[in-house]
Amino acid sequence: MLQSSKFEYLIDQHKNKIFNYSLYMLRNHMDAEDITQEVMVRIWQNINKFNFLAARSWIMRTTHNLCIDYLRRNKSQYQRELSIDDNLSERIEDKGNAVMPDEALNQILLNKNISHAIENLPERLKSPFVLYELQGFKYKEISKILDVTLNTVKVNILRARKQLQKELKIYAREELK
Amino acid sequence: MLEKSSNKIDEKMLDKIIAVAYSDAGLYDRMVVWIKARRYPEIKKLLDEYKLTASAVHSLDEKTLSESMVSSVKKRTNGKTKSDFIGSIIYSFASKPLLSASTAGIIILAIVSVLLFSNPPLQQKYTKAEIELAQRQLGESLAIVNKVFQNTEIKIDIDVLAKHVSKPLNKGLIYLNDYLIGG
Amino acid sequence: MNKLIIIITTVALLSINIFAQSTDVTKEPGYVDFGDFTAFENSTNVTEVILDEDLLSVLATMSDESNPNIMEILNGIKLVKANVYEINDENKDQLKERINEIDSKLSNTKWKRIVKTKGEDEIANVYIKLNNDKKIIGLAVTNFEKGGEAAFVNIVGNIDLSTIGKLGKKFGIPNLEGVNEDNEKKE
Repeated sequence: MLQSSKFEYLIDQHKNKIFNYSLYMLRNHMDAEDITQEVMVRIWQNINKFNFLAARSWIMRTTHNLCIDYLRRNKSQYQRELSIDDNLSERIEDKGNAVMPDEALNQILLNKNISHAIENLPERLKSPFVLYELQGFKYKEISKILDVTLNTVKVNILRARKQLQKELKIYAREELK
Repeated sequence: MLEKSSNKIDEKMLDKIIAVAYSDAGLYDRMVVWIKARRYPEIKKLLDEYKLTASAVHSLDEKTLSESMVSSVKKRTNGKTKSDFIGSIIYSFASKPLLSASTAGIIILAIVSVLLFSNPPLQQKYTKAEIELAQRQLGESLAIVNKVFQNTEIKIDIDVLAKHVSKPLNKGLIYLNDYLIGG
Repeated sequence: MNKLIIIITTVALLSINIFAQSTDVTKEPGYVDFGDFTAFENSTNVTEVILDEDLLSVLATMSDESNPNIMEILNGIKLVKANVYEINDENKDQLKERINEIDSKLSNTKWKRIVKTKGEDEIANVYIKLNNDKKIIGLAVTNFEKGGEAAFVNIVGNIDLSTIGKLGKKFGIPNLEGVNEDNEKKE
């Protein structure tokens, strides 16, 4: 069927993006595979309904929504939610006064902590950050995917960057101990 | 306000620094941060730290989804109805491999036997209307390519095809190919 | 128990083989990702074409007296895709920008641009991708005609430019032989 051709094409185009996004959101390989499979099935079920040109946004929106649903259903496993620190800039300065050799930071950044740090971001910061920095979506697309305003996307990406930096400094400090 | 020996960097400046580090600042902001970083070591340090993080983030590899999982989903949906019994078995097996080894083996054997003997010829996957549509679409796509060659005054650098010719041409693709390759 | 394991392993290996799908065409060197076209979805006339290897194989098998040797012509082509949008005041700048972005992207990679025209009312670019044997394995075309349409076409596979011309002729595109005579008269 012609739908099969379109379906296979869409899957080949988007499968890794779906999987990687799910992996960051759920922090678990098997769960991410489950979600990815579910998204693929939904693509098939809706292959005739959705606008093919808007496929990318639709697919990532579906992925995001399924991840959120999954997280909510399994809330106890994902209890750890870091709060957003509105005085972050001052705290970064304060921490900057402590001894933080560049070499230590370099070392941290070169290892797996960066992935881990991204995974630990609060969900509403992590989603736009992963979509923008790792998957190359534009602000407007992310706004559609997450169903938030353009300004919210920009603000949350900025906050994510700050939060990530803070996380990495904490790792570095712990490594030095 | 930034003092020369002060550690205080206001929120706006920090936002600019971060934008520059992550390569999505405008030209003006990039210039401002560059100038300030040269004057104030604290700003340079912060910029370098954020740049390091940004670089590490952008270097993260994309993980690849296993082909077996993709194949199982494709096979499930390939020309079969959604309520297909065998498809359900494949999906269940692929997504939750909790069955015992012997049960799994029997199911695999059954699936393979059915698929081996019941795979429809490629042509039967498509209806007549779909094939006609595909033919028309193929023609339209190729018409676009042909039109570009036909309608425009072309200057072709044939270096890319191992011949060194540069000459205005206004010909269709067949003649272009004959001219270039002699085929 | 050992026999059972051997049987299951054999059958499992066999089934993996059966389930193996054709290669991912998006990984082919001749493939071009033109980007997301969501912004243009509201254009008046929109055409989107995706013809993969399976479907092209089916078209190739349909030969009759008026269409001889289709199989030979389509042989080796793995994908034909096209996106076409009617140009209006709202989308013309974005479409031009997209064409320029694609031009930058392909020019910075191993694609070779063999056609470039750029004017106020028209832009046309043709790119080819060559393999180590100097065979064309990818063709990309971007076209913008003010007052008309913007088109993005990508053909992936073993391409002979004359094949493309013949295929165009085969599927009802105006006969190209007349072009040569007209041009000779002009010259």
